[in-house]
Amino acid sequence: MYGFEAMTFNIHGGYLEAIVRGHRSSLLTAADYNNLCQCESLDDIKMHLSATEYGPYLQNEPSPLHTTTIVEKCTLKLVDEYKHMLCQATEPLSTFLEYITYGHMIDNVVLIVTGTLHERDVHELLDKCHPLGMFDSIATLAVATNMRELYRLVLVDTPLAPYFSECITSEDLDDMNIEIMRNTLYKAYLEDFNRFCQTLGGATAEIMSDLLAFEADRRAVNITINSIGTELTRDDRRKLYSNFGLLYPYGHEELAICEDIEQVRGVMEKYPPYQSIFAKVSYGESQLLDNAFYVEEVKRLCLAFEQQFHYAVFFAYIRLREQEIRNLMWISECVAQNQKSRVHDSVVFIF
Amino acid sequence: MGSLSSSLRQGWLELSSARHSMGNSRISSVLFDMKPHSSATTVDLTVSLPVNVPHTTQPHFSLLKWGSRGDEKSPSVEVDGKTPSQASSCSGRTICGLLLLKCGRRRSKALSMFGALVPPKLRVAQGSFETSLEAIIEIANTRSTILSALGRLQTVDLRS
Repeated sequence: MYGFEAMTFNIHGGYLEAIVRGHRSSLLTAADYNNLCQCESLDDIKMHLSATEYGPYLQNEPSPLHTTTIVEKCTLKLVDEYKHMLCQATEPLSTFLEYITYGHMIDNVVLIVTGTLHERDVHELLDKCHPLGMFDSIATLAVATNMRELYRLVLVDTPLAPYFSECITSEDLDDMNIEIMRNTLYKAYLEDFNRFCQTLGGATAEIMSDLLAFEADRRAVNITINSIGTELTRDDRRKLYSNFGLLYPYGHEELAICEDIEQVRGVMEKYPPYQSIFAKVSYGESQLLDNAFYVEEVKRLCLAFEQQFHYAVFFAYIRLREQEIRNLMWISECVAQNQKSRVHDSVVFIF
Repeated sequence: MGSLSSSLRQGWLELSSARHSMGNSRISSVLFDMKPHSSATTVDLTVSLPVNVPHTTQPHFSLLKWGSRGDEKSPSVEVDGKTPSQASSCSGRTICGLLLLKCGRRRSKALSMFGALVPPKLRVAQGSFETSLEAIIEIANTRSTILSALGRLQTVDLRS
C-alpha cells in the first residue's frame, strides 16, 4: 500500500538502499569537475581521479593514456558496484536491477550484428560491448543473417526474446533494418519496464513512470530529428515511438509528420515540461538539444533520491553514474584535442 | 593552412561530440565497413605542360566528391545520359537538383556504417572533414602553381 513502505521496505531493501545512497555521495561534484576542466593532459586527469573512487581502477594504467581507457576503467567501477548490488538483491529488486541492463543488451546485440554485416572480427566487437549488457551466447550472434535466425539461434533464450515479436522478419539484415530493429526492441523494452514498475506500485511506480516517460519522449524526439531527410517513412517513424509518455498519442502524431527541426520545436513547445528544454536551444543550435535533455534528465534523477523506500534510486544512481562517465569522456576528449574552451559545452553537473 | 587546421580540429571535436551523445558502441572504429567498396570521394590528377617552358609540368588536383566531377556548384556529371550543357536551361536546373539529391544520398550512405539514423552532430562532423579535404586540395594546387612559377623563373634566369 502506497505510503506504508516504511514498515516493510527495509526488511529486504534497506541494506541495498543504504549502499546505493552511499555510492551516490561519491559522485563527482562541481569542484571536482572544475579541477578536471583545468587539466592540461590525460595524465593530469588520471592524477585528479586518483583521489576519487576511480583511483584504484586507473592507478595501474600506463602512460600515455587514451580517452577510451579512462572510459573503460570508469565503466568497470560501475559494473562492479552493479554486480555487488545484484548479487545481494532479492526479488523483486533483482528483476528490477536486471531490467536496467536490457538497454545495454540491445546495444550490444546491434553492435555485433552491425559489425558482422561489415565483416569485422567478432572478438574485436566483443571487446567493444558494454559489460552491463553481456550474456552467454552473445558471440553466436555473428552467424545470423536475418532477424528470424537471430531470434531462433540466440535471442530466444535471452531476456530480449519477448521484445522480438514485433520485428521478426525473414528479410536480410541491412543498415536500415538493423536500425528499425534497434528502435523496435528498445520501444518494447521501455514499455515492458514501465509495466513491471506499475506492478510494483507505490513510490517505485510513481517515480519510475515519470523517468521512463521522459526517456520515451526523448527517444521520440531523437528518432524524429535523426530520421529527417532519410528513407524512413512517416509510418515507420510512427511505429518506433513508445506507447506511453507525455507525448503519447497526440504529440507522436505531430512528430511523425515533421520535416525539419523547427517543426519539431513547434510540436514540443506545446508541452510545458519541454518548453524549458527548447527555450535553452536557439534557432539553428539543434546540436545543443542533447545537452539540454541531459540536464533535464539529471534534474529528475536527482529528485528520485529525495524520497525513501523505493527502487527508483537504483535506476537513478546507475543513470547518474553513466552521465558522470560521459562527462569524464567529454573532458578527456577536450583535453586530448587541446579544445578546453569547449569543455563546458557538454558537461552536466550532477550536484 | 590555418583554415585547414581549424576545420580538422572542428571535425574531430564534432565527432567526439557525436560519440558523447550516441555512445561509444555506436561511434567506433570497429563499425568501419571492411567489405570491398569503391571510394565515394577521389582525387583526380591532371598534368599540364606550360607552352613557353619546355620540360616542366604543372600538376592540378581536383576533388571528385560523392562521385561527381567538378564541384557541386558547377557539376558536369551526366545524369540520365545528358549533361547540364546538353539539356535546356529548365531541365538543366532539374539535372543540377537531381545531382545534388544524388550527392546528398551518397553523403548519407557514407554515414550509414554508424547506423541509418544518425544525429545532426555526425553530419556536421562530416561537413567539417569535407571542408578540410577541399582545403587540402586548394593547398596542393597552390603549391603546384608556386612550384611551377619557380621553375619558369629559374628557366628565365638560366636563359639570361
